[in-house]
Amino acid sequence: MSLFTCQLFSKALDGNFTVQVILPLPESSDLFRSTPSVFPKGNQKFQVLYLLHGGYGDCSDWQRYTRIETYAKDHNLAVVMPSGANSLYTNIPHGPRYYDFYTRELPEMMQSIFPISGKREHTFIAGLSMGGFGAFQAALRNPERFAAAISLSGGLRLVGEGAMKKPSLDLLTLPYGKELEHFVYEENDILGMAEALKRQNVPLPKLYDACGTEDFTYPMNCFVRDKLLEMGFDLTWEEGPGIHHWDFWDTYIQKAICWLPLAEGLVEE
Amino acid sequence: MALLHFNFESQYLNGNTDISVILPERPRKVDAADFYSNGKRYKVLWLLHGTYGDHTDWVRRTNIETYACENDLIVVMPSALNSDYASWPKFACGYDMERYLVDELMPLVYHWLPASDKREDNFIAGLSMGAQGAARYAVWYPEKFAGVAILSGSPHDWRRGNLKGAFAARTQNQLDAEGGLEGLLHSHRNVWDRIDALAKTGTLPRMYVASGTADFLFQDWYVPFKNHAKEIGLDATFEELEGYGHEWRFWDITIQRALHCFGFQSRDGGNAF
Repeated sequence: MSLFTCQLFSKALDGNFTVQVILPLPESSDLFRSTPSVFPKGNQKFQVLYLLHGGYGDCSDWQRYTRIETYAKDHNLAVVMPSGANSLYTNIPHGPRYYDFYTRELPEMMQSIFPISGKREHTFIAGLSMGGFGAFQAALRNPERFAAAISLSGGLRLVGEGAMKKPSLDLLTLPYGKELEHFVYEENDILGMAEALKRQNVPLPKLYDACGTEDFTYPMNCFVRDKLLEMGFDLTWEEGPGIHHWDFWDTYIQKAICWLPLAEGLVEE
Repeated sequence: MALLHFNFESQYLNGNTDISVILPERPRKVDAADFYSNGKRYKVLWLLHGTYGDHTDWVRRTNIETYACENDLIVVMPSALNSDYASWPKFACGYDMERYLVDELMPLVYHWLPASDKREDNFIAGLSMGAQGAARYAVWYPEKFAGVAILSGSPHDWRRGNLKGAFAARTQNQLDAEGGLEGLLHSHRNVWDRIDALAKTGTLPRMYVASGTADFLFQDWYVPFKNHAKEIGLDATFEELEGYGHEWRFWDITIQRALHCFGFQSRDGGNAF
């Protein structure tokens, strides 16, 4: 197993950023188990999961509070974890363009530095809370880049009917302005993005949505789930006891990875 | 949450070394100035990695940070190469893990960090080679720790011979380092006899010992130690998890059980996310 902490320059962010990357390379447990880890050669690439943190967090969260390295190893999956501050993974007016960064620039950089697949069918994105929003946003607005998206306890509806009431962290002002003057329904609302996508005749990303039944985002997640199912999205819903807590995310990221349409081992590219 | 990475030159390891430290987390409703100047000294878990590992292992492969924060516990994770947490005077310029931990890292943690140095506030745990290390410090420095967790690496009687195969050369190095079996039996590597000596004195830390039944050390080390503990009347908690091997899934579960056994049962510290 290996964990890379990269400090790179981003044009979209206008500055340096940190990203953590897990690659399922050979490790000591291979001595005790018959896991098939190898170093990729030639055209061989890893399938990849882009994994987004929530509000208050950064690129170290998933690796520190879940056992994602072990799950990545079990499924022979590369995991890329960027930092998104409290940006809602959105381009900030007159500021860092987080959306451009994590949907375009970051995957291009990762593919050039690491043996990571750039093909749609091997590229997945997931996140928790604010990162769940980011995951669905990426896939709904870039269906040609992501085959599947996973939202755990996602902040999927922040404005309008069914929206979360009074979030503890004001995530809206930074990207959308005090009067939400920069908020564009078809670009910034999950249902708006979904409606816009349905009007194009392109393959839809598979969606996985999970939420704890005691989570304060539960009603919002049910609302968005129903709308997306009505629209005809291939959405898998899972719920179980749990609050907005790492215990839930550690459990459900495992289930979600098992749900991903993964190939066996390395992929050719 | 707060995760520190220290890198500094050690007097006893004769070179730079790394440690990771988890510190208690400020609840979001508490004012930062109040939280950081409250003068509180927190309990400490000394947490040791296994063979092949380093100071990043426990954070990367388990959810120890969550368990620590829920209990306002400081966790100190050193790097120890494959040293068995022993002293290797003949390795290069000398690599003395024991004096490093006891005479260097402990003063550093107690005086630089808001850590309590009281016995009742200090616990030591480890997996595999780290379990050996934890047991070693628990029995040779029982005045420093209130509890010890020995996960997948029970004390064993060196006179019974040791592992074959890939670990045979390692065992030979361990014997050579102490001048053969007699020397080893007189060294701090001999945890087995030391436990015999202290079992009835009431001076040993609370002991939690666990192994998966599919662990390659289960039959050779864990079962004999459990039987021996019964014979000598050692007060310890033993736990076997059916079907688990020498693996992180097991250590993530049993470090929680160990903390529970030591009385850490809060879920209120820090923040839920």
